Amino acid sequence: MYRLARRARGPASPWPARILALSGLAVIALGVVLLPGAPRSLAQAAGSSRPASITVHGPHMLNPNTINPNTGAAKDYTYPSTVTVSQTNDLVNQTIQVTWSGFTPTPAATLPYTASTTLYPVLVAECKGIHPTFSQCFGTNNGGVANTLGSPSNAIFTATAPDGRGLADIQIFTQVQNQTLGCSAQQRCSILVMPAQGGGINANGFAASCNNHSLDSQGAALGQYDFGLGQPEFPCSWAKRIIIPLSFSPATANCPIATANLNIIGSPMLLRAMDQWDTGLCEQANPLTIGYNPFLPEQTAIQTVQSGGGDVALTTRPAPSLVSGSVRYTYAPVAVTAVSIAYYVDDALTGLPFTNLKLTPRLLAKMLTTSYNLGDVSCSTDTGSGKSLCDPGIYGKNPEDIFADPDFTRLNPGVNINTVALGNASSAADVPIVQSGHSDMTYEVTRWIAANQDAQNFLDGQPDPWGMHVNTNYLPTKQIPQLYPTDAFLAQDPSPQAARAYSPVFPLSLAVTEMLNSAPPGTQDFLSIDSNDSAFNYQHFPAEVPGQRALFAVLDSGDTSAYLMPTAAILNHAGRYVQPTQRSMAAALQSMVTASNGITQQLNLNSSNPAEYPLTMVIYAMVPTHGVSTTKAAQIARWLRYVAGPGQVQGSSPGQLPPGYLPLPAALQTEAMNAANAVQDQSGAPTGHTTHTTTPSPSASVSPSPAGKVKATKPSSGISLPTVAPKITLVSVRDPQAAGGLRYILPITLIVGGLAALTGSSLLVGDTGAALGARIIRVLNPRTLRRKTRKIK
Amino acid sequence: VKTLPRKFAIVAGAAATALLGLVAGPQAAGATTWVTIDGSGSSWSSVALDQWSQDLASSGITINFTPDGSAAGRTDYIDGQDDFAASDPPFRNGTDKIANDGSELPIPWGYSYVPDTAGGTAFMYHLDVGGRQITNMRLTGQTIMEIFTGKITNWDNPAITKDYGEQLPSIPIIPVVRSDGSGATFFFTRWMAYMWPTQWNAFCAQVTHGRVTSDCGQTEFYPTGWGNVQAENGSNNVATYITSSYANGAIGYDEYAYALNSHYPVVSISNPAGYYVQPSASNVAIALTQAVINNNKNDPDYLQQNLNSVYTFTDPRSYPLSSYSYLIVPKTGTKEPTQFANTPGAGATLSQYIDFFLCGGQKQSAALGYSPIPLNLVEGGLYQAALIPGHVPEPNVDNYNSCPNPTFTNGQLTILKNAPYPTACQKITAPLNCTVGSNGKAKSSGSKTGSTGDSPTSGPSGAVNPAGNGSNTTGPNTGTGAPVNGQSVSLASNGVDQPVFGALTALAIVAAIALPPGVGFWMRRRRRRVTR
Repeated sequence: MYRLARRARGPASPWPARILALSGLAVIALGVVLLPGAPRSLAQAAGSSRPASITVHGPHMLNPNTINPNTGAAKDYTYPSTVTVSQTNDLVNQTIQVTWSGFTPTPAATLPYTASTTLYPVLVAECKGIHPTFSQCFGTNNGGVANTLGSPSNAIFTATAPDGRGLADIQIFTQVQNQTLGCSAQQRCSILVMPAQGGGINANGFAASCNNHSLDSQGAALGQYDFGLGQPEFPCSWAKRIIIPLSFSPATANCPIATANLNIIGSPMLLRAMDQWDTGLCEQANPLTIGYNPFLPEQTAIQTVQSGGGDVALTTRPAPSLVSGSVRYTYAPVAVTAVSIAYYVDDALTGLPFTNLKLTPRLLAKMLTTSYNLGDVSCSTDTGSGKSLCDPGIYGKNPEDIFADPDFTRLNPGVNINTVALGNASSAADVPIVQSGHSDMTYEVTRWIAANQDAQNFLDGQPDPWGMHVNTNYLPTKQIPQLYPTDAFLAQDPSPQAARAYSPVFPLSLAVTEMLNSAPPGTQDFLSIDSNDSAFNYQHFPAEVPGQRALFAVLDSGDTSAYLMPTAAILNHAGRYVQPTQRSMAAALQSMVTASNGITQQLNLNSSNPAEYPLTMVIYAMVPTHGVSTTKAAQIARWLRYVAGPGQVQGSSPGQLPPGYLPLPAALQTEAMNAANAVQDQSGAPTGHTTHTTTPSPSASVSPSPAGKVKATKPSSGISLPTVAPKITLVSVRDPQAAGGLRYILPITLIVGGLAALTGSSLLVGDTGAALGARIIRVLNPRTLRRKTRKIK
Repeated sequence: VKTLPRKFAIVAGAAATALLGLVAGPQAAGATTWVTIDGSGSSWSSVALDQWSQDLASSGITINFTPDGSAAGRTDYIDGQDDFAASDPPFRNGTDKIANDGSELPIPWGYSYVPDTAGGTAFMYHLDVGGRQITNMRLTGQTIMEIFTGKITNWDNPAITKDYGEQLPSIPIIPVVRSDGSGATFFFTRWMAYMWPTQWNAFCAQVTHGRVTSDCGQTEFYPTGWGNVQAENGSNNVATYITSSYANGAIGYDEYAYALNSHYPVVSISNPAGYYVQPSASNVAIALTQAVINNNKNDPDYLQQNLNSVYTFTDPRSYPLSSYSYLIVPKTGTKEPTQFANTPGAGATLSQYIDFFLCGGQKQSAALGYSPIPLNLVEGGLYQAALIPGHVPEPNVDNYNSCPNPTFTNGQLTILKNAPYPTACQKITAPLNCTVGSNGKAKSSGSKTGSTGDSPTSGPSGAVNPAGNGSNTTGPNTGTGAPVNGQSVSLASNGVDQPVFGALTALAIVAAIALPPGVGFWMRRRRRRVTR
């Protein structure tokens, strides 16, 4: 989230007084620019542990338009360059973003980047120390040759756009990931931003003045020379480097390895928050050890917990029943998160990623139903009948991919088949990386699609205004009268091209890794003839190369925030395109609808609030209010009070809420505290919340079955609209198992709620102090930050 | 090419401190620095391996595991690119005749095998009849073999009718196999080659066009290009294919975890005792009591398994396609793989990871679709972990504080002790509409229960049938901490009525059985803390 917040802040430096700007000539004379970042003390004085971006002014870069073709002499731009780094302090193993302006543009014709073809590229690397030599910058010693994916280097070779701007997302290695750099609280490191500046060589091939640019276009401005230590061109570019010091978090996660006190299962979206909370809890004086299993889908998690396989289930959609044997359960909200539609789509003209894409439900539906013509592949024919195996609804008719679809290009001017570098992406571009199996995320995404009339019409078989038709394999059938909503993405087009490209992934963390590595999980539709392959095998798509990527993925905002993946602004019911931000998620909470259980809430897809992000999700812990031992109950209550209390403070320290999640608003926090009290009491009293009215519906709440048809024009069955003005209303509890004691429930709830509010808030204060005292920052779940991709032979 | 030098080693002392922390409670923060280690291989075991690295994340341990298949994992290890590999079979010694692959031995580095998890190779299938999904399929081993050797090609085949107990309509069978080198393929083909050598050799001759005619043996690379076979790269793509709308009639093999995630049923396979059984944690554990483990500590194949007696075991609970999976790790006194050698501290991290999953991590197995491994393999694995260069001190398996493995009671796997027997309805002769009478004997019920009413793909309404509902399963004790002794749990009737949910229930029950010792441990810890 802070990526967006930071961007909104603009390029202006928050610490102008700290900015050191040097003129280009002075820089060359000095040979080094060391631009200090904000000292830690400053950030602490500001009372914020949140990461802050830093902008520095650098040297004036070469203006290639001024090169005199005869003498090679050239002028620099009249304005200094700037470099912004999204975070320079308290770093863990994470991704940070480096952006720049006022750099020498890279001619589009020389893209994508290679060391021997691309003019005026930029090198971004992590270096040991704050006065590094070139050799101390990791992954730079290959003569400008980019380490391909699959190698452990984090150095980035990229380009500058015609407007002088550029960006690079660089993964920061701590000493855990890279002992050569050894970055830690004791060993400072730095970011190198080194522009290729050409010059330095004359027509005879001898070293010359840095201001002799006569050979720039013939090679003097290439990465292989400008980033090649020992080359005559090298010093001219090294002289204009910008070094930005980094400082690291004091320690990594260091919980004792112990048997878990509590076993918690479900909601893979919560992985990052759970990791930080678990660390916070284990570092307390009286440690509580959590075993977290993010691999079981939500509904399986509920079932597993209700049959004794765990203590707490995490879910967004409610359980079929809150009673299992002698155990009764309730729900406690623990986090607000969102599904985000991530993408890596690179601009063929600049080599840089696009970062402002918009998507509609219909566009996502087109991709999820493999309705594009998959790169206009040659269609295989059935050997027997000679008939085409491709879907007649799309083959030869529909756009070859999303970038050729007017439905997309009208929304995203400038992003089209001429500007997107498809590289080896081909059909992989048209099939997003999604989670396989049954998932609440999938349910919310497909519910959003189905609630949009344009998308639903498309899925029902009506062509879009440009004549594009849904893949006929996904048309409604008697068996599946409506495709969406569903909680599992299923492949339905058997043609080899579509079937092989379509490859949902389990678990979610693997989908994140595939996206991070730009490695689409689908396979080629032809058998390998590679002799290294023992059998004739369907090879995975090759990993896409930065600068030539075209990939979409349906992921969660915790992961996309941690890895700074660009996420699409998507259409909400008010007709606005909205990014998953703190603000848009908070707006979505305002109008959520409550299920008939009186507690769990889901997004209101008919809300007219233009600010809301329509894939916002509340994650609930299903916790026992009756039937477990007092010690177990106390542990669960303690866990709840912690995660819903101090665990909602944002930050990257143990116990805090990582970026990408929205802190629970007060009403939900109260609800969680009520639940915690009910868990501790074990009296079986149900809990609820009192902010929204609920229209009782005898048919169980939010129906996930395809039969529960959701249309934009009317609320889905069982979902009631909230009243416009939030008012305190008594909650009707329609849990059949609890109906007998219904008349006692309300008074008990209110009393318990009142007590809980008191207890909870006092606990909250105490725990917050404890959490703030914890200064150990753990690794930001680097488990999924794999430096290695699937081997592609 | 991974030759990342990692110079700043953590000292072994730091690792030792961490281990002390395990015994002595929370240690001072910042005492330990681990290094990130890389592994690749078995997708069969990857869900368990991922869970264990997740468990260690809060301790600052990072394991990058890429599930690219056992064969690819071993190749990565041979190439020196990994700190460890995960492989279901051992290094190939030259006997993969079908793939015509030579021996992988000798490899340039030393290695030892560390067993990590047990599990059943499950047969996930997609069979819709009249708009309803069949979820109670049961097949004999012979029928499975004939399906995967192209002899039985339609679900209306009389052999299937006989096994299942009811005639199915004509639906062509789509056998789904792994196209990449896979341990699941290895174990499945080894079972067929051992049990039905004549048929298997004939199949080999057919698919190799006469190149291999005798003693064909197992392969990691399932032959393609015969019958209706559909090859898919990796476990995820196998699951994607089987669950697709166009895969009616498909049946494929993989670790049970993938079927669990997809909410798809798996076939009950007949065992030599004549019962149809599911790959539940307890049925797998029962079967593997017959695995012959190489007990020669000086043999490179120490701890490797011979499964011949597993296939023929006559315990009525035994799931015959059960096996162990292994990590392949560096060994002291031998040459170390390049990446490992260049990564000081990798040995401490790797051995800590192994020590964790062989002890406390084993209790996670059942809930994930696996089965915990027996004591002799835990002990042997810890022995091998202590041979990893730079290892942390070996935990003491006899001391629960040192090795908190809750899966044993008096040295025996608890799930083994409490493993439920199949019911009379699981006997291969029992009719499809069989129910268990109050006397425990089979009887035919009036209505056939051929399928569940809801498609398991339709969301919670169909997918989640809370365990304990609508079956004669005793409600598992839900975490009250009370001991769960000798539950009279009928996995069997579940298996007949609702195989998917029954199996889920069974796993959950196993988890419930495994849980109380954990609670007991917690209580012991609690007491200790109080007395301190």
